[in-house]
Amino acid sequence: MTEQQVFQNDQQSSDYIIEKVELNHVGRFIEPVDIPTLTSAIEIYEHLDKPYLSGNIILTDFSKVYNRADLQGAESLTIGLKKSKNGPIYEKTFIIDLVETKKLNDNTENIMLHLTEEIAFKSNLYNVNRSYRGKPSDIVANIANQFLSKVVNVIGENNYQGDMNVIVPNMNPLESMVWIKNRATDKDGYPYFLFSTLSNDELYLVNLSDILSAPSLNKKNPYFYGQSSASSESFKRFMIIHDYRHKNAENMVRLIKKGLIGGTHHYYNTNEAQDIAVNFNIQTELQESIAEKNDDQSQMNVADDFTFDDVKLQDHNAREIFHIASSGAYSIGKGTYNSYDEEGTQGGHKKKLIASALKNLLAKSTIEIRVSGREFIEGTHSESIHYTIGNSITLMFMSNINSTLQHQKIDPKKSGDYIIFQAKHTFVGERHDLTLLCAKVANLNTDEYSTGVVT
Amino acid sequence: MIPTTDIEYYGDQNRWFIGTVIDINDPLELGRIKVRIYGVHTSNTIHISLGDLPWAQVVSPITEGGSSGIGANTGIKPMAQVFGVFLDGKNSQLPLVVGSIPKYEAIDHGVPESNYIQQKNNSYANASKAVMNAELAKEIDNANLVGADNKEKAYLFFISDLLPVPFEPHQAAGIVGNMIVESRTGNDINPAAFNAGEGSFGICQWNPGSGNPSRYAQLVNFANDNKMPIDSLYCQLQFVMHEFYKFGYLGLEELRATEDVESAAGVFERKFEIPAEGTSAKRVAEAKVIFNLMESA
Repeated sequence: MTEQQVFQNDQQSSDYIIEKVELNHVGRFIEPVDIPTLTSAIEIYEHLDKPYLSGNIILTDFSKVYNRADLQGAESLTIGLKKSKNGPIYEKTFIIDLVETKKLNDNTENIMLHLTEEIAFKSNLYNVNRSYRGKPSDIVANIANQFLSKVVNVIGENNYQGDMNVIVPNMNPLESMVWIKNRATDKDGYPYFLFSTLSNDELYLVNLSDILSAPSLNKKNPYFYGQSSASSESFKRFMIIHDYRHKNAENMVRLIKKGLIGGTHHYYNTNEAQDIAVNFNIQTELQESIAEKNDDQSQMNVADDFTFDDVKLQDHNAREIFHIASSGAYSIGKGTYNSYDEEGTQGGHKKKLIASALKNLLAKSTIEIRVSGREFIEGTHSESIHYTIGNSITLMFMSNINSTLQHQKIDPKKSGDYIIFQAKHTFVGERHDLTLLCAKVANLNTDEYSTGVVT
Repeated sequence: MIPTTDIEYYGDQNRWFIGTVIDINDPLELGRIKVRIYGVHTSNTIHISLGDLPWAQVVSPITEGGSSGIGANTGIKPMAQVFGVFLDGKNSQLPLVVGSIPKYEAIDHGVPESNYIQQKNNSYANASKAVMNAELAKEIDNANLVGADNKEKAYLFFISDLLPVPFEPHQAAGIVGNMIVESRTGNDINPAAFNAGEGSFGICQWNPGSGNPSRYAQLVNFANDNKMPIDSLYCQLQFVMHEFYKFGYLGLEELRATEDVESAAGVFERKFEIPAEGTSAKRVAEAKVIFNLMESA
């Protein structure tokens, strides 16, 4: 999303062009159906922690499509969309996994096809029961290549975890990859996310540290929510948030119950009859590291001064949690490998807790916004570019107080840089709307703004 | 289903198993054993080889000391059927053997696995048909084996890191000495050797006559399952190990216990090849030749 793109105002009336909607019966011969003219709405979902897309397409059937297409639940549907006539095509192939219909009148019926990206359907066709040895990211890439013929783009620092030996105990390839990915962290314990995007056919394995450290896509032109101020000259540089809501936010109890605010986690090795106890304190483990990622936004969204019974929240040893992490399954003296959950040191085990705490922190502070989708489909380059999940965007909300515009303060709690965690593209009529679930791990340090750039 | 890691107490997530003991030679001498677990470890030894299997701890009876090094050695043998639990629940990486389950000892106890392989073959070529492809076999062999000729390649395979626990040189020589007698072509072993009278094939002359399925049929299935032509030396060497791991009566344990070329060749002859009498001296002689040759090299 370039600065030029933000302000570009081409005269095209529609936000998008449907380049193709092709139904393929994968080997069966069925009379061709002209789907694009029947398409009344398309929804596509991207999720940072899911290695596949999903979606829905609604067709208005007034020419016996349902009958002629003979849908049975394993057909493929390729959708191609672009922003402008000469823009790159965003194309994805889905499998129809569910069909719903609703009669509108005697001659017309709405057909809703639930879609799952082809890779997810294909994944269900294979059982993985193999041994793998290597770094988690290598194993993930290996499985993707072996079973799904997919490339995994690994972005970020190497896994902290060294070579491990695992036997995948009967899962499908995507489940196997997620299972392995869940054990990977960087040297600071930051977790990885494995996801698919609308922009290309590759999978991404990206470390959270890199996502948090990356500059926001729209630092100088934040998305802005403020009904009364939106028309003001001062805010013309901003892009508009049409709507927003918080959902299941600030659930501190969940973190406490998991021992991720303060708690002791035990990891037992039955081969050595040794217990490694890890005392976890979220402030000690994460505050400094989060602050390093973004100077302007360094206040972790778990304050350090909550006090109950004269003891700070994080100093309560709220949970004692016990795991069996190793039985020396691959200990052979020379050339020993770790098993799935095995670590030799307290620090190694602590990285698992940091990863879990960060994922829960992201889930704790989320906001759902609705914005125009135009800016998220690149129309000026020949290559489709990925702008949604896994990228950071800057959002700005005004404080809930009356004041003159010049001295109005932003709401530092709601405002700031967010990671796009989930995206729902809705293509209806001429509009491309985007509903984004955004998450953050820290709040802004200040409620001041001057030049439109959050300082 | 992806196992969750949010378990507060390890004992709340249980998974028990039944398996077959494959290896009892714990390198750390802690009495651990390797078990191929039914439903978790495929019988396809290419996908999960012996070396890939985890070492399982074994529960001892409370009549044993259990600490300070006091207690009896475990007496369990390869091919025993055992019961146990996974210490890490559905992750299923840390098996603990609780006890053994007596079973009816049938000579064809490899049959269930063979059937399994046969089923798996439905997705590859013609499951029951032997696929020979000299060119592809050569390509596979060159990619996976080193050595001046086939007998050297076989010898080096058996002492190499391709095996989770490599054989000692004299044991490898004992095996290859037998193979020379079984499949000699010129001065080498021949993976395409075929005895028209018996229908036997390959470096070990696997025979289609007895067993259900026969050892030859199992070789065919193994090759198809692993997408290798049956005349590949590498395929046949892997199949030798596959048979060793699966069928304790073929003498893997005894072979590993031998200390010289003569006894190694003898064990392989008696347990693995089971030929007609009269070739023992030849087998030992060939084994000694290859042993001396390789040792001097």
